[in-house]
Amino acid sequence: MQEPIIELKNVTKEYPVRKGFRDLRGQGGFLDWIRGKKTENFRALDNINFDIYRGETVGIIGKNGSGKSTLLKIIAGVTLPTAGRIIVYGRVASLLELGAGFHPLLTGRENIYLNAGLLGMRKAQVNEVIEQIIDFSGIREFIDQPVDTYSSGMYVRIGFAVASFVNPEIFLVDEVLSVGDEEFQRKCRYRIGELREQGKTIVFVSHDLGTVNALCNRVFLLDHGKLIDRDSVSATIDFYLRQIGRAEGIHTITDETNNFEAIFSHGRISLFHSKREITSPLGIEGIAVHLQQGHISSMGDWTVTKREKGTLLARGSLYRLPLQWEWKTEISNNTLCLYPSYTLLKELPLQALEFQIFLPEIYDRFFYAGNEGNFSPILPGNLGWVTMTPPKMGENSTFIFCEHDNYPFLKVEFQSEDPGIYIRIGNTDYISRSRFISCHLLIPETSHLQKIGNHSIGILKISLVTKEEYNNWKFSWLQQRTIQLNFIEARLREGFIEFIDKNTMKPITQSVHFHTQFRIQGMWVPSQIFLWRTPYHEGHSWIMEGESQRFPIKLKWELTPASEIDCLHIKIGCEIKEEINIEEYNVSLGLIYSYNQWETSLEKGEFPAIPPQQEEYLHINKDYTPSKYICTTGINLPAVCLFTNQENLFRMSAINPDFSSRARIIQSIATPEQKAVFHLKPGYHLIFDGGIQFQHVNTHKQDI
Amino acid sequence: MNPLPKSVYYDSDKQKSILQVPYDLIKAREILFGLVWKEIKARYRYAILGFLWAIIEPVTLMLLLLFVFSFVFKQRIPSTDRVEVPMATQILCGLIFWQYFSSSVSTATFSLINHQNLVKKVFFPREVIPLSSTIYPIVNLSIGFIFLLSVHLILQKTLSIHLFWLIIIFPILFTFSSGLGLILSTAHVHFRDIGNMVNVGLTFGFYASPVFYPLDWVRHACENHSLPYWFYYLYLLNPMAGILTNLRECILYGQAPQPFFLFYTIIISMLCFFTGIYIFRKQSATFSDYL
Repeated sequence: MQEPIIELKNVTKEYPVRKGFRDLRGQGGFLDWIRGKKTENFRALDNINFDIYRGETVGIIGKNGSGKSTLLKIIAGVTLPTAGRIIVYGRVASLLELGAGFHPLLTGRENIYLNAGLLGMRKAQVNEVIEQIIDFSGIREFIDQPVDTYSSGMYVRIGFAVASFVNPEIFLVDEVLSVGDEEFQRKCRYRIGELREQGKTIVFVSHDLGTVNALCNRVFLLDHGKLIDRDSVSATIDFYLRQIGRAEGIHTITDETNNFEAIFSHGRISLFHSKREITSPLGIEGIAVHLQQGHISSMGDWTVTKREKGTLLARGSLYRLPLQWEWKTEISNNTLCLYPSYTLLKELPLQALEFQIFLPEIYDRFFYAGNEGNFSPILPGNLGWVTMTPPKMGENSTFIFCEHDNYPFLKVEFQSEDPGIYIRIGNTDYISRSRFISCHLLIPETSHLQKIGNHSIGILKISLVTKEEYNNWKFSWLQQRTIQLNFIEARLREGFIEFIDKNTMKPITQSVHFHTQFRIQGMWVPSQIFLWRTPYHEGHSWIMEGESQRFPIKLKWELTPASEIDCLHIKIGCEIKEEINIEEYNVSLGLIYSYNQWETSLEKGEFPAIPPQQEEYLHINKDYTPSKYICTTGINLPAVCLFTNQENLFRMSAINPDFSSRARIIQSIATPEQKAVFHLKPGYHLIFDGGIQFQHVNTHKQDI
Repeated sequence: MNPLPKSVYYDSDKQKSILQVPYDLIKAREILFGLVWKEIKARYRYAILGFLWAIIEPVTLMLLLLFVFSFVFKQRIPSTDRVEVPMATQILCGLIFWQYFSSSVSTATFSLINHQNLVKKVFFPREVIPLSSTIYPIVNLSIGFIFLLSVHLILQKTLSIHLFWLIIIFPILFTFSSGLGLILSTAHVHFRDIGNMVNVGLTFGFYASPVFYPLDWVRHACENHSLPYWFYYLYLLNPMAGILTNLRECILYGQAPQPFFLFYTIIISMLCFFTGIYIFRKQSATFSDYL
């Protein structure tokens, strides 16, 4: 059992209310003092009881005027409690008196002796550490100058140097970290960390809840002089946040049935579940990007215009942009819906709007665009933000979760009618230590979103889900994008199709998988960079629709499975909005490297090995007369045929791609013969009609 | 890690106890002398004449007073029946000790206000602050005293063995001014009028104590019925009258101090000192609330 180093027993502190000159004459004055009349008092601390043990780091938080400083003063012995008792078993140095008692006319060195003496050091002891103190302060060349020639920074440095070398058992730190430059603050934090390592007791008053949370073993919350002690640090901090929420212009909306709360505070939303904050202190904020510069929503004046049980309407004008946010927030059924809209007071070349959600480090897994993965740990060397997976245009939802009972699975969904949406997830830098989910809406040039007037963006949904719901969702997500053939399954991805052998559950495609690409103005445009909608059914067929961001082309893939014979019929249509010239296009299938034979109706051959120096695509077949199909086989692999129903249009080609891809590609290439280009008029054009046929290893067949 | 011995650094219940004072003061002796040293260094560091000021000030005042009494009021000076001691040393003797008293009382009164950043932020026995302001002027006093002795030696060519009485008389002066300083500084924290009152009081005391005239003059005035005789006893109530007279007796006249004055001033100064310590200790714990 540890022994307490600081004991407070029923400590009460009252301050007399002073009234200026009336002290001598009127009420509370000299005569009353002689007559022993009591005047009304202000009670700063009310019956405080606690013990602090050796080696603890204790934080004291509370609003301004809640008695924090008084408590610290009482511990420091600067003032005496009105009632109750405090015993301190160890020398106290308070970092609140940095430079107190410095005489301006004395030199730095003399002031070190004086100040160290005041903090309870003998002169001989100071002699031992004086050199260290001077070194730590870092102002050796000025040490024999009078301190009134010092800058205020040097003043504080030397004060801190003395305070940290007097070697007391108890340190009292009162907001001292908020003065001084960045470097000094870092030095202070580092020194406090060191002192903590040395087993010193530290009592810490701060408004910086992040630091309190990071440094303290225990936190005491003072509220109007009363002590509120919750069992854990984070619970106390949560309670405090809630409390300031009630008192100031901070608004809470609650989904009471599910214990889900959102706290809105000046352009920032924090989420709480079961009274526990599940967002990190940065919360959720909106950012308007203008001239490469992000304008955070919390940098604005916010007023809450309407607040009901589950809804909140807040308006905020940014300080530095003529942009007025209007956020409508609803909370129900475990879901927070934010309907952001904004009003531009003048035309503004906005580049993007972002909503950033910051989550604590404890969230370490994600599901995004079909990939499940882990967040990498945030290391002290991480100075910038790190994105976890490449963002995918149009992918509008993600799951973030962790195996921790107190933190529910989160689903973030960003829906908008405007197409330029994507979500980026990753880690922030080491200082913020959060996971971020950044929902982007890119605004193209000359978009209506840059014009004067009111624009609504869409919905940002954040839902709490259970693990089962997540698994179901993941299953159906994959299901929705999978076509089952006989022994092959086709997974529809963003602009490509992946084929998997169901017997082995191994993919048989890689690299480009199945895709199509166009050559427009000398540039290859693959279907992967199109923006794809979620696939949907139409009769027996599946429809995938994707739109180019750059060219007025909308692709429509119509996939019709013929499951019994393991055939997937593919029709590729293309909707043109403006006249366009396409120089060339192809439909390709990238297969794994083990495929080594190819065959068309005209010739057959083997894929040669790809030498490491190969950097370009190499056509292997010689005969380029248009034909109907191309097949490949490999040992113990299903035979794959890419065929077309269109006559005399497609040349079938077997290709070895570059060494790094290590794949086999079979391709049907459409090139215009007499005309140099395909000149497409606005409207719908069928550009490919064919399919892919698989054949099981044993029943290899050449014809269709 | 073996548990450290449980030494109480600070216990709020003992803070108001008078018994704690000597213990606290012994512990804080380095702070006390640190503060005195700080004052000395800060005062003379950038003064070219440095410690000479400790002499220049009383000498100037002495010359002025000497001029006034020797030429302006010459005929009024009553002749004394005792050994002739030059007026110059008489005035000088009164002045340097009075100046010690007045500067220690006035700086002590304001000392808590002047050191409020310490009082508000650092824990140490607060007695140190007014005490340091009564100790610090001893430096000036010593310089002045040496000067006085040299002047005396030059004019009278003799020093008396009775100088050793100073070992008793000076502590009386010190405890009296410290006691007054403690009381007045405590009062000044609560009632800021005290500071002005002290200034007025010290000016009054300068004339109402035998500083630039010997006590004999007052007695003569009363014996000549130019003043009522009870006035003389009233005058003697002022302990500074006794202290300064006794100082003159043993420094200038080479005589033992007058026993009545000695006992009276000892009692008064002790009373003053312990009252000061008591009041100060009772109030000191909450000074920081009122500063």
